[in-house]
Amino acid sequence: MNEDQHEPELPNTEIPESEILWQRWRQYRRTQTVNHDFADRVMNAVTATTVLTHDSEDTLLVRIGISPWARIGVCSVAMLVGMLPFLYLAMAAKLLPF
Amino acid sequence: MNEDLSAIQRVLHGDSQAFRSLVERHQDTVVRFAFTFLSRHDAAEDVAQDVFLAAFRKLDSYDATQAAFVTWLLTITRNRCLNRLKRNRNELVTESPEPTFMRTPVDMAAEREFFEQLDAALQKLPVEQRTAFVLAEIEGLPYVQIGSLEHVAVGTVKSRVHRAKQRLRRLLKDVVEQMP
Repeated sequence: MNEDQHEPELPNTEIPESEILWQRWRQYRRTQTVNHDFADRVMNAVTATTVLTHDSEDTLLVRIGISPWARIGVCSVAMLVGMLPFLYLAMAAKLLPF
Repeated sequence: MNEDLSAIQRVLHGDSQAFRSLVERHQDTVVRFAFTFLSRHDAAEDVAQDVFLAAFRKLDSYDATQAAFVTWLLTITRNRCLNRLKRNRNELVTESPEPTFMRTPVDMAAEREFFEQLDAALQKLPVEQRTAFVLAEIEGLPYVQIGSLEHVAVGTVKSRVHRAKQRLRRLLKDVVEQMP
């Protein structure tokens, strides 16, 4: 017997169709993807942030690469030289006890 | 999840390039979620970029015992999107969203048009229903995670998702009935 002669199963077209469309829409929403260069842009921004942070942390003396003791010495000399005008003024005003 | 944690550890130990794996793993979810609020792909990507940058800067404050990394990212995304919408109310969508960024063949134009109708309907839902629906039905997040992200009980999340689905399915039914 030809199977086509069996009572045909008429599908309920409305509900399955809406269900299929519903599933497709959800799939469509799930498969939305970002531009291929998005991660590159984020990483560029991250790198820029990192460099900026390091730059602000690094002093000039660190960047020119001298040792910590040499840095202390340079700072002490700079402070001494900076104090000289005030010492001179104090001496001129006879404020110094020596 | 474990991959996230190991990448986070590497970033915190100074390997900033390890952050790329986190971006690549979660970029689609974050952009899609931002798109849910902003309905513009360029704006969604801008916000997502800000989100990842903020996450990178504040990575040491991330507590894995409190939330999954993706939940943490989505919390930042949600806050940024709401702030942006508050700042610029014109961005609140009243028109239908721009064509989305999925590559669709031309012969599926009718279907795409229908999808855009559903997208527009989604945008018209109250923001809490929209958020819960997208996180649960599109992103597949567990209700518990959505609850912690939205600071509401699991039951509230369920009812929001249910109401959103009801409204969208009603629209879907109307559209299908009008189809030739």
